[in-house]
Amino acid sequence: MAELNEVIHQPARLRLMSVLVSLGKENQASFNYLKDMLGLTDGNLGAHLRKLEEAGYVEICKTFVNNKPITYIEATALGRRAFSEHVAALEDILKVDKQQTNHNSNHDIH
Amino acid sequence: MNISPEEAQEALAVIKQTNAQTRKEYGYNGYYLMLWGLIWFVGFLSSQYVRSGQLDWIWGGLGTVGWVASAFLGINQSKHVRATAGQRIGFFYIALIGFAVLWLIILQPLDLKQGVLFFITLIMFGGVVAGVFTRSLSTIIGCVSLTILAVTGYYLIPAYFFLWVALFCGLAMFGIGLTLRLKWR
Repeated sequence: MAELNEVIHQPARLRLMSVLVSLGKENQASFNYLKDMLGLTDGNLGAHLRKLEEAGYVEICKTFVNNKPITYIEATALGRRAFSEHVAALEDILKVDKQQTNHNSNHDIH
Repeated sequence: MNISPEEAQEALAVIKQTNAQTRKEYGYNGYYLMLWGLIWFVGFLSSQYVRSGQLDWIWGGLGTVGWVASAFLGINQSKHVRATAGQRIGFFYIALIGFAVLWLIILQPLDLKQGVLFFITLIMFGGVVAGVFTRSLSTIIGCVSLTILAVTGYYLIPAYFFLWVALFCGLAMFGIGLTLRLKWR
């Protein structure tokens, strides 16, 4: 059974990883794009990204576009794997709960 | 770490909602396809029915609109999301177009339809390579399908080849782009 991931489960980080993973491999999201998308402040988003970077789940790349500094963020292979395992763990919880409910209702009938 | 089934359900709903929102925001490929589909449709329809003296102007104008609009889309897109393979694809296309011009000179004299088919298959070949770089199976399938359609029209009804390309390549590209936009809305 897959394990829940404490780093990813925090609501803002869950959405953050969800955006990065759904963009697909070879795609990076800009810091401002993530900020607008998730409705977070600069400081808040920065803190969550640091946490994910420490875990090795995201890679942060600073560059220039039209002479303006832009920060891009990409989910790493490890991050993608951790995210899928977390989703699998969430689905497992629902599956077990459903089985339990079915078992209980069968028990009640007998 | 333990959570209740309700919390798990809620987390999965958040993931689903975020995925849908991301796809809605990030549907730029649809715009590119719509733009170039429309340009091909108008251009090749003109190639079929307009006198050849005016075609250079029409294609010149359409090409300029296409490249300017693509550059605008690209700059706008890079503010949000960028493909790490984007630069490699850009250099590859520049090299490909350079070689294509060289080959077109070497292969002279070339029938106009052969030249157009060469150009279409070359652009689609570029699309397949871009699909390999970005690991996008749908791009590869789309480009191979358009190549097959263009080649089929060339051999099947050469007299209406440009009309065929306008409808089955240009309009098809526009339709696929529109579908992508609507699907991700």
